[in-house]
Amino acid sequence: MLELRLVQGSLLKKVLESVKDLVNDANFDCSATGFSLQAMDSSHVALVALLLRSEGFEHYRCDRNLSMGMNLNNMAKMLKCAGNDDIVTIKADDGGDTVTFMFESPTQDKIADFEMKLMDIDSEHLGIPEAEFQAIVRMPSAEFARICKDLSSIGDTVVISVTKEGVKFSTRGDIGTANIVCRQNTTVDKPEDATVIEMQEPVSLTFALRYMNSFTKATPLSNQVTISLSSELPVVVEYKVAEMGYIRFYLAPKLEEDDIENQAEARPEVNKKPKEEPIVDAKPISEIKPKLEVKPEDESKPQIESTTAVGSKEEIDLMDDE
Amino acid sequence: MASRPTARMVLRRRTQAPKPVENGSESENGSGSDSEYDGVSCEECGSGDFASKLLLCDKCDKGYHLFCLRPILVSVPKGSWFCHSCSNRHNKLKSFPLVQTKIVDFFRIQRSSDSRSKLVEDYRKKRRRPSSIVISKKRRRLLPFNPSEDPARRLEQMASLATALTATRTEFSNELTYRPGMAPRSANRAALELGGMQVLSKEDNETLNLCQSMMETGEWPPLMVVFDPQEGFTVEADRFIKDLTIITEYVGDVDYLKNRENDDGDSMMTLLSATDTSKSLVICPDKRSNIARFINGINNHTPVGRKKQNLKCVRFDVNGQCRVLLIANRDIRKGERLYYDYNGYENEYPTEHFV
Repeated sequence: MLELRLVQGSLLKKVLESVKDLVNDANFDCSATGFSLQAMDSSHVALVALLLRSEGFEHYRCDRNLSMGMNLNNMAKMLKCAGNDDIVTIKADDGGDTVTFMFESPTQDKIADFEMKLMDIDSEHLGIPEAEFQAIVRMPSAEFARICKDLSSIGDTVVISVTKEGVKFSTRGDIGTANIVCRQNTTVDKPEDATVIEMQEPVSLTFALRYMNSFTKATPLSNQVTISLSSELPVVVEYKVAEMGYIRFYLAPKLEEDDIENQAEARPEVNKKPKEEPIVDAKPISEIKPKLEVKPEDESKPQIESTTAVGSKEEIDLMDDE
Repeated sequence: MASRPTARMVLRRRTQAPKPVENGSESENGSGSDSEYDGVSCEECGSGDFASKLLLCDKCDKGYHLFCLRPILVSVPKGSWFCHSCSNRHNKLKSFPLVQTKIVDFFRIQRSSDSRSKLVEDYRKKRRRPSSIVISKKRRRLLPFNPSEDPARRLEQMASLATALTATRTEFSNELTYRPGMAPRSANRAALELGGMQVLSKEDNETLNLCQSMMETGEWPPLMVVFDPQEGFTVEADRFIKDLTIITEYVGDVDYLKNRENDDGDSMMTLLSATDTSKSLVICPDKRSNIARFINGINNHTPVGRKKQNLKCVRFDVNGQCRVLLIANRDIRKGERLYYDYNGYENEYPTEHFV
């Protein structure tokens, strides 16, 4: 039996809005620690990890560890029906196949309940080790969102470099290049507008902007965003959820080919079925090869992908017509 | 006289003219405009030799030998011809020096044993020195393709294939065909394969059957055949395709390798590489085929070529018979052209002139 009552229902609404475009279906795991989610996007380039601690709920009852598979779009649709001030309660029975969302208006005069079917989602949990980051940047979330949006109008990848000067976001595209530098700034009126940079070592990494723009959908959750970087590791973009937990987005970087090859070579996935690769044999069988060598010009026809042969055939046909 | 000569016409003059490098001034044709063309050498190889094969771009007047072009042209095209930079290429595949990694490359699947936590340590070590991570072998299932949702779009895809098949005078067939005079069905036995062939697992077999039944009900794989001025016919993904999706099966007439030794067709695919070579089989898609024959190969001779590969071609033992499947080996975005390695390991298919 699961029953979680969250007074600040808007938090859950915002959380779903930020995740539903990245991940379609995911398992929500409930345990004594809290309500969490870990899921990769369909391209397996980004990972979202959400935690809402049990202490943040007004009432938290979770008899058994439960994993509920939900379509996040559908869940978001239901949560949209909750008012921003509503109290949200999530209920589920052990072994049941549905989950119920109950929304109570703050004045207690309107109660809505929505029931949704659960899904069977086969998901693997990834182990995310606690790591020391080479650089950690904390900045206003709105500013970060604006930077990502602005840069995506110029290019599609962003290079984030942290040096002692500050953090630089750069991109290049067809129309030109763009660089945005944010310097450390703690002398502001409000602490949430501060930009704080903790750098152990300078680091520079490249990421795809489209994922960054998905992450910034979580901006309504918090005034500040924390971006943690380490060389050749995924970046962690974290938004704290008011006294309850966090939502963290991990994004795999774009690396130089050599680095990839080191990883790729180790991937038995590719090499493990030795017959897989070798099975693709050359298309023209060896006997044909000597023939090709003899006539270097005729070589062109069979060498080109079959379809170009068509092209040249057509040309020849035309020539013949002459 | 006032208008620019077409590429072909200039070439005709060129064949009469002696080698431009040596004696450009001796050109027979008196017209002044001609002298601009003497002394032209091929942009690719730099030589002015083979003047009769030196094609000039109708826009920029740069010269290219027919055999220096990619794809190689067999003869001078009738009508105007534009070089690579002048022709409108909408498929400019830039080589990306940076490759997008995946989250699974860094974080390991948590379930079980110490071996996993050891991998986590390797992950940490990686930060100190760039050594490789041993990625654990998780067997992943093959996925069936996801057809386009819009039936009108599916019709367009089918039409594009029909056009390509008509242009190549090929009939459509979605399975291996055994014609009289060629190899019989009984010759296709995976057991004959030298070294043995990997068997398609039961789950993957079901996935393959699902794909086939989808095709029969008009749910086509989301692929579009397009004609590219440089590459010829080629296939693009018409929607996002996940890693390990079965794209299609490579089909055609099945024949004995020995019958086709003198065949200069370029689309033959090895089906069975038997211990006894007289029993080896090939798939010949020249008369009957499906979309697979239009999928292009990578250039094995350049580092850029290898990166273009997004499909792999795999042979499987399916219920005792050999079948060839084209499977995505990474996630493919909509609009990406499909390429696979024509040369599995024998490296016999000469691809150095490929795009």
